[in-house]
Amino acid sequence: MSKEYQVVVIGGGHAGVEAAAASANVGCRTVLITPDRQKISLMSCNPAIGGIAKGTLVREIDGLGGVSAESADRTALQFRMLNMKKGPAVWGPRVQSDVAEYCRVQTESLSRVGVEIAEGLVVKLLGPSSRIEGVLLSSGTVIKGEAFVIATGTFLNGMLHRGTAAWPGGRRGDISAISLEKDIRERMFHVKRFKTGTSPRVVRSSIDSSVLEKQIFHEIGFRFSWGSKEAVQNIEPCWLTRTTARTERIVKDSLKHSPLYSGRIKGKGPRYCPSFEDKVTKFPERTGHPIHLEPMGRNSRIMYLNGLSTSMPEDIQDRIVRSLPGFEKAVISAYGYSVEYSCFETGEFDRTLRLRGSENLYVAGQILGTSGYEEAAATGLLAGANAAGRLCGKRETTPKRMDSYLGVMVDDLVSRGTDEPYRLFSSRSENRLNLRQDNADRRVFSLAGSLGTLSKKKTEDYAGRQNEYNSIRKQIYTKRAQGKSIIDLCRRPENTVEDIGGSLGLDYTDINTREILTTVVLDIKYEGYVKRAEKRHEARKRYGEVSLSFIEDFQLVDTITIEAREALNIRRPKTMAEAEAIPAVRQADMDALMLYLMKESVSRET
Amino acid sequence: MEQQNDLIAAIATPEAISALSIVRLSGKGASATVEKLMNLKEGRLTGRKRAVGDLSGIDYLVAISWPRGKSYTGEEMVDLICHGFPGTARKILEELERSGARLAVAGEFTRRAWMNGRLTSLDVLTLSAEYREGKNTETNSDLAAELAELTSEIEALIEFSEDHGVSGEQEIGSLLKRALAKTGTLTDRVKSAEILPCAFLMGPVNSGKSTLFNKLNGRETVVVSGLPGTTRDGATRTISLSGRRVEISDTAGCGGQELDSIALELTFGALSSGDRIVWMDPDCEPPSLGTEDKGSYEILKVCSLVDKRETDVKTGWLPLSSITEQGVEEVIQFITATEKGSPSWRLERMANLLRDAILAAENKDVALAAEIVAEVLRETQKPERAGDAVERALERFCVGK
Repeated sequence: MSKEYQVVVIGGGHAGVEAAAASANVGCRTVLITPDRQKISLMSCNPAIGGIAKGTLVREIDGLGGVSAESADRTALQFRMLNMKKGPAVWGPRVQSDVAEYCRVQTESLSRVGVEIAEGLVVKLLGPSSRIEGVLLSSGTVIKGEAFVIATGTFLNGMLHRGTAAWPGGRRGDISAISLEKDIRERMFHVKRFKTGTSPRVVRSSIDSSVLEKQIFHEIGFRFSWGSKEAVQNIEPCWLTRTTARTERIVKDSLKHSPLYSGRIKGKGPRYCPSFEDKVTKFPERTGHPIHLEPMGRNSRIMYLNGLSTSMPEDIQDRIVRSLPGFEKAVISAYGYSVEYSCFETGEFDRTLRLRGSENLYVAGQILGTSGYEEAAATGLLAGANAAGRLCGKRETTPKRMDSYLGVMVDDLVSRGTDEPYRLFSSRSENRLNLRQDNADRRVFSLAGSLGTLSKKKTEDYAGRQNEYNSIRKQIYTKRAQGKSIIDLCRRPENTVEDIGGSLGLDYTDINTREILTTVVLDIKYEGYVKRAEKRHEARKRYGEVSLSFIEDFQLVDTITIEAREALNIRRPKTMAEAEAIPAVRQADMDALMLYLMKESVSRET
Repeated sequence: MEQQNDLIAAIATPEAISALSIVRLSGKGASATVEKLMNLKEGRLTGRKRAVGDLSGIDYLVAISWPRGKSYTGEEMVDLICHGFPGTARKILEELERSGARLAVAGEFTRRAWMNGRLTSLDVLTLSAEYREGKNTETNSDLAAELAELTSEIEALIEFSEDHGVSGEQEIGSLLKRALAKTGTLTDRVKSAEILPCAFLMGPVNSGKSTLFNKLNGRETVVVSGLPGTTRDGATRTISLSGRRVEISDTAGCGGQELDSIALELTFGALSSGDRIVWMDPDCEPPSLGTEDKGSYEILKVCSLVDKRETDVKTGWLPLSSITEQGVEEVIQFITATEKGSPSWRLERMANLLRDAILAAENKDVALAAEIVAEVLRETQKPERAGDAVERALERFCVGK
């Protein structure tokens, strides 16, 4: 039995869904293969979308015609803007989501754009790696295609760990893609092992929430998607508790039972989304770690314990949880665990997310070495759009580092690599004052154009917003208020967007106007800084083109580290940019290399 | 481009009886030269090495070598630590000179360190200030380190404070203020080390130039009289004004004769960039220059002897009287103004940026504050040429530094 498609997406997580939707939006007949269609876009970890930089990335996905932003709006239980006191460039929009609803809405989005869903477990890629012809399912079915996107997340030879127990699985209750990983290794692709973990879930009725701090957030009116009509409403609260000295002692006394610390897990874990064991070990002086109690859905009986990721044995997890104030009688409905999985080594894929040495095999999501739903979704969109675009005769497109967090992420993954699950931070960007959540649609509009993922309707909506933007900008430059020109008011740091809206007499309660006004005002405020950042970037690029071809032996460059010299002699970069891409070469080595070149060129001239 | 890495040598310690003296050798072939004189195996002093032995029968000493890029000067360098009799170090120096080394001039080692990017221009100036005052204090590198620290504090605040439920906005504010205070101290030090561009008092004869010159000098150093043309040879003096070191030149007046106007043109032509001219004329006549004037000097037009004047002063001219002191403060401000692009100008710019950062943080824009701090940090690390200010400061170093 065999079926034929143009684009075949393997995996139905956050990356797979965006990959399939993007491919269908570009115009290709697309199938998404998942072992369980009930779990499409399932949030395996915390029930929330967004965060600092991540929330901005979700808006970029929306600007690129993706589906996740709208689904996040539609299934939100609560909205929160992180970093309100730290400047609009680093505001982090985030929603608490109804997990089950999110799966349903995302599945709906797929069928709306015409993606077919096939249930099954891929065990093997068919055909030569240079040009894959199809995939074989465990049922014996063959699915043929012209381009393929692998988006298997943590399922690629996934191993779950809790205490001394370890069993194969990509997620609690799911299978592990062991045969597919074996096939990938046999095709000589290099893979590495990463690990990540998740927290226990508790039964809501077993918690005494009267002693917890209820989390109510300032309503500022926000939506991820420009297509959503209304701002997100807050319909479910979250709760906050803190760990006690007893919690920390239990963990310290039980470290030998943790697979992380007893050495059973060999994969490298994320530094920035650490397990609770890590927190206690690395910050022994700190106490009272905040733990957020988040509902898994509207009126859900189950609550997620954000901040308490652990893979301790079950009895110890019971003791840890019951040491929290209000949790004395807590019942755990699902215990926390770690997952160790395979992902591709740096250098195996390029900026279009196509595997090197293959014409039609793309990768997206956690197997690129990322962590997080948002990172997965964005890379999925790029891989899916490029896979489909190539079939339609489009040129493959890569996002630019200065324009989007997607660009920053892809550039980091390809040129610098990562030795732990890669999470986005605002500080990873050199152009942070421009990479804001408010202007994400404009920043990615030209990328969306070359990818071909934006529908006609969304393109028109964008043009409408752009017109309003220009009109507000013109008013700011021409109008006066209280005897002062508004442009001067705008440039003063103490004047907020709301103040400027007031002087222009704009309706600040209208979400469309408010969003556009915000962009205009912030663009004006940060103009000078953004221009300088772009100039610096250009300068760096020029320096990147400097040729290294006349250096025959890098061992002679004695001002750089020995590791860098060895790496340079092996990789033989032709330009400074290629040298910079080598992980062993650090910034200080680059500077020394540049000085060496300058001196050498002087001595050759004289 | 001037060949910079020829071999130079100097005695780096004071020439007095002490336990030890150091002779420093820097440039291409430093190691090989010492290896030969000490009868060491070739390559014995290649890289970061140490050798003990006899040098040409002069002394039994310790030689310490550094490879290129790792030494103070950034060049291949050897320090010879010998016994502290002045004659010993001198004999070693002579021996090195016979082997092809050139005697270093004042500040040459530091100049090379600066040229090779081992020191920034700000480092050179703070070093110079320290050297003059004979004490070790904060340097530009300390400020850079503090800013780097500040940057990581801010980034941690932006990325993680919400996760960890901590706030630190106030802390950032006080850290920024501390950096600002440090910049202020540094600016004072650099200002005291910098010598400002020359200020020329010019104008027709008997326009009160010497009176002003004396006034600025605070004592009668030039013969002053009411007779036109008393000052025929200009006097130049480096004085301290408002805490700045400035060179002031009192020029001979030009009386309208042909020779004088040629002299005037020659003077204008010889001005270097940034030099200041105080043009003094009781009749408010600007200098008449025959040829097209392309100088990049700055000029302050002064209507002098204003106490004797009855009509209004032309606009654009500063009324000045050395008797009533009217306008003297403005002249001082003009000649002690920070030179654009000079290290102290850069430090003042950094201070202004830090003030902006504080304001941004106070207005809940930590991200903007971070961007500004990054700009300040880049400014501290800039290895750019600082021009004359550094050249002048380098001259103040001893030989061997």
